[in-house]
Amino acid sequence: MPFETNVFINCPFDKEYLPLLRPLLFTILYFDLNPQISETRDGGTVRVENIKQLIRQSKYSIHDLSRSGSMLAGEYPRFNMPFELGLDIGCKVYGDKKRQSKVCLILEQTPYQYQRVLSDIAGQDISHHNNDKQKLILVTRNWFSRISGKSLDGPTKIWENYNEFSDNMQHVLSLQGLSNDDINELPFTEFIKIARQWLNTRKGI
Amino acid sequence: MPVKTINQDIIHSIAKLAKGDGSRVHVISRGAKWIIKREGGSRALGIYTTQGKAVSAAQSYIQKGKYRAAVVHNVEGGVDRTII
Repeated sequence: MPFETNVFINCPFDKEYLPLLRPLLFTILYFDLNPQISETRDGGTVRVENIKQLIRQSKYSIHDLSRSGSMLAGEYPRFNMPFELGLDIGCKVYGDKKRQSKVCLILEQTPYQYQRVLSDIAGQDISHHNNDKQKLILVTRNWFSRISGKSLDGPTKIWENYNEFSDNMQHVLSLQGLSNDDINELPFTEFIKIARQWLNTRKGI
Repeated sequence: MPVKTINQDIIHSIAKLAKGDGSRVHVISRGAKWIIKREGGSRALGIYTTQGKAVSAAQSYIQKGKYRAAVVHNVEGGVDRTII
């Protein structure tokens, strides 16, 4: 996949985030971009090497820091996502000419959530989504419109397509004997393949 | 984990549905409102203040024979139920 169309996704992989992640992946695919997401969830060298590779090969990045804080009282905050954001910015700052063209969108749940505790990210492109799928599609679409200068379909059209796609995918996979849990736990690579081909048909490609 | 392999035939079957079955409508959230939209269509057939009102209108379409079925979505974008 070419550097110019790759989008590195840095976000949580838990069940709670799944309702946001799928619309996000769908929006990226809607604009013929290629989401780059690590399926490796365990820690260690292999995972970090995989992430460094994905960052190197992606012009665009979306970093969702909305779940980086402690989810429960007494729980430690999750540092993986701010760490990967740092790797990405480092790649842009210290990289070759191609990497210096990298652009990223930082997402948070509420306005100024992260600027209060990570003031060094001020000046970056930061938006919030309030954990709302339609808002997430809107901010992602508007960010890509701004940086690409392209005239793009509106967020409502993308959301409505996503709803129809979800029904079509669930219908066929249920007939194939997959339970709702099976469908919810589809690996991202399979979800991406299915959504990409569905969008190609819808657009008549 | 999935019990079956998602092969190219299955992916193709899902993609084929993207052409849109014009005999079905979808009830979809739009911001704080709800709309009814023909599958594959570009415009809303109606905009409603609640999901219940949109579902009633969709049922009326089906009773009148204008559409065969209505897919009712939840706010997550998934499917709650299908009305025939």
